[in-house]
Amino acid sequence: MVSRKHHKLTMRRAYWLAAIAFAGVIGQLGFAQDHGRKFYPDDPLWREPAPRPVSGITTRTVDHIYDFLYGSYVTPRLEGKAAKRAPQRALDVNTLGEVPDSAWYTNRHSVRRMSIEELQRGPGNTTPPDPNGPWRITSAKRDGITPGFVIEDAQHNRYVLKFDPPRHPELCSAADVIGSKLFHALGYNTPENYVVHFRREQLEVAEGVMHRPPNGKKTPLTGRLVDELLRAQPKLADGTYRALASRWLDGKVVGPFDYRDTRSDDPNDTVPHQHRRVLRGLAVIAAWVNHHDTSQINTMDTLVTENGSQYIKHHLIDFGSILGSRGDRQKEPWIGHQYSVMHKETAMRAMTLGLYVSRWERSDYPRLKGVGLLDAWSFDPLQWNPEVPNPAFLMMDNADAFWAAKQVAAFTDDEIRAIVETGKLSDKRAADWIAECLIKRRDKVAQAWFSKVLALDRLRVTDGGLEWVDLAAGFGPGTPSEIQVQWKVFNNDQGTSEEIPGERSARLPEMRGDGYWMAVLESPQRPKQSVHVYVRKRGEAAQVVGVDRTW
Amino acid sequence: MVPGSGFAIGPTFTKPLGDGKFILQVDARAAVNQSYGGRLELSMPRLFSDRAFANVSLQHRNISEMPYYGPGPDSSKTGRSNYRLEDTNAEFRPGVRVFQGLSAGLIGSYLAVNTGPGHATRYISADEQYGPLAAPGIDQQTNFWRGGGFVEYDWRDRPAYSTSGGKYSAQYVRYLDRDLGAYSFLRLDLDASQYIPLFNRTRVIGLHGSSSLTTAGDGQRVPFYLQPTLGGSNSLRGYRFNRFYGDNSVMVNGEYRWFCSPTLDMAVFVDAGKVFQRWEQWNLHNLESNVGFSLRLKGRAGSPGLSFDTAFSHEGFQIWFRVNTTN
Repeated sequence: MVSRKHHKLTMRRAYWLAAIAFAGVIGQLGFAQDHGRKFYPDDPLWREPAPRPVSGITTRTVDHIYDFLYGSYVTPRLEGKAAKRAPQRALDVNTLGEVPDSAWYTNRHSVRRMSIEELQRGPGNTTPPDPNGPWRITSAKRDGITPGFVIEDAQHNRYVLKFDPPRHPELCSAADVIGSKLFHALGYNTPENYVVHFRREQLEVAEGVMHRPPNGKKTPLTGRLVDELLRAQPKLADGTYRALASRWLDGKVVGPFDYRDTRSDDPNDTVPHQHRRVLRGLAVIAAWVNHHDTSQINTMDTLVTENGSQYIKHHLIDFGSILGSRGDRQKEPWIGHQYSVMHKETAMRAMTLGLYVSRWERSDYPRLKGVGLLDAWSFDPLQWNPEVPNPAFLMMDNADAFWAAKQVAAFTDDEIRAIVETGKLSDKRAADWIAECLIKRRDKVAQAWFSKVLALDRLRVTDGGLEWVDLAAGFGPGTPSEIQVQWKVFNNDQGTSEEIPGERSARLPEMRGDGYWMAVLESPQRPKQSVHVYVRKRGEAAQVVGVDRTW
Repeated sequence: MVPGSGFAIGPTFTKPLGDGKFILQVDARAAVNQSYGGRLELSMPRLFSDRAFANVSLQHRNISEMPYYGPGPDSSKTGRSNYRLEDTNAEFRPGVRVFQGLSAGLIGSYLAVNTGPGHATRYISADEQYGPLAAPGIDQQTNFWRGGGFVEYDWRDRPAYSTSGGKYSAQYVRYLDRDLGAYSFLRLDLDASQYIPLFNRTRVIGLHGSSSLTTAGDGQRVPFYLQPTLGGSNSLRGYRFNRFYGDNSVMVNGEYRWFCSPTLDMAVFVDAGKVFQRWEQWNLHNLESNVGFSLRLKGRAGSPGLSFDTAFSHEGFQIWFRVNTTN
């Protein structure tokens, strides 16, 4: 499978150029021998090879305006057309179609159920800013659209302190915390985010901190300017202010990652990002939680050290623009339903004098503190769009979407409610609304993507039989009632299969010695869709080692 | 600068002082038709814990081609003339915020005015076309003490580009001719805007009405350069700038605005209004009117950075191009 090739590529890069040239012929011979082999002894891989040590990493910077223009006008012509003309399957997957653990992703909730406590804890819930000591402002936040500071608490832990839009208290901070927990459970690397309450007296400004107001000139940050900023913030009855504290990521920050191509200075970054399932499938997940600002600026790479070796870890950050929030204000109604730049729709609306009314324009949003514009009624998971076209999203295929929909569908109602609780919304009705929206949106995601495939998953061999779970069950109509099984003997070296007559049950057929079977699962209600399940027998043990699906 | 001045350019300098308690703004403009102007303003937007505010400003303008078509609603488009308007205004404007949205204040200023022959050679100079009977004050200039007050209630959602709420204001100013004693008068400006959102604010019906009323005592007249006017990008858009001069004016605008894209709104509008001589004529009869459409390019904040209005009236059509427009 492709992951094997990726692994080979990674290993090849470890050799000196001369050694590669010398070994070329032998390598060619070896490759020729492996060419038809579908599975290797260690398949399925659940963890990518340990990253090679890196050095000489430069810090990437992104110009937000350039990124917007490139994304709006160039990306649709590059990845948008490439996805239609030459679709390519994701390259970071194992033989089961799952994504191995890596510097990008860790299998969590959908593979290994997390408890409610673990879900609420997220990436860590043990180091909020020390509430008893002073918080020193060491710099003013420059990136992103929300004003804020970088603070250091009495324990010398650093945090980005961000405030809610003054007219929409709790909106951004709740979204940011909920997002960090959700995306962590989904497997992504996220920062520790906390809703904090503090008193003005706790904030101290370190010497030499500069501040640039919106469209203004850089000036020294003074206590009075801090007062001015806080003046716009609602002061709670106990005299405290609410904010979001996002703990500084471990390691050295080396800038955001791009959703296309690779980092040229990272030898471990061998899969073009637009061909990573974790980034392609993010389109489905982003739709679920309405993460409409999936630009580079909301990602971050850090140089971390593990076991004495340095490598680059990839994070999603800044979830202030999810749910009903747009970071510095509430989301606008069109967000999630179209790109910022869409010429055809613009022309149609212009010519019809606005008489054409979209579904999203008729949504009914509640006026609840901390909610913003979030609903499930107008949500269409197949039509959802971020603000700016994302190259990885455009390359997403059905396999990526199915993988991502599985992640989304893995959350139960109670788990969603528990995660929403971490947003610490003061109005219970607001938390209820957000949870209900996420539950309904999850159902829509599952219905939309599970209807495109036989959603048979968690395939395993138990007691001499093949077992599976129909993920579509419980997500509305359309679940096929009858699954037919046809067993075949699979030749792993040749990639060919031969039908075993009469073997039409979930029971494993008889096999002498080691080898591979392939079970073809089909449904009369979905004649075009099938699941090919590969089972490997070694000694007495049989294991599912591969899954292919047709759409 | 006023419309018709041609290309204009100039610097603006803004500096917050006292940790933002004061804002100093200085700007200057010069246009290709030799108009120029400058303004120095110190604003104190938040005094006494946001309960009060004050502005002190000094402004000078020298507009070389101010259009004048003659007095009243029956003036002719072909009667266009032009004059130079040079004025200097030193103003103090303190106020209080009574409660959220409601504010009131006082106005005190000294206004020095000078008029002269217009710079444009393609139009006759106003002093050659219209005498002091038609254009009071055209032959003699004077200076004024201005004093008055204002009250305003503003509950619009976004003052820069409203989609809901309204703004209602009234301003009363007494002009005291301190040199000639012939041009003292009172002026009352009333203004009301209302915005009705539809379909999650992607459609907005905007209604606007305004009226300016003046009265002068016995033997006094309102100088033509301080009369209410109609015509231009903010009033009757199908007519030229300052097309109508009169002692009083009334105007209504209606607009239907719709969302085309995150960066573009479009609108169709209708404007109607008139100038009139006596208060008894304050009604909505015999209005000049126009219809039109508008393209508004919006920035991230949703307010138009550029606006193109095209309006049609019985006098032809006008195209208005505006930068950083509001409502």
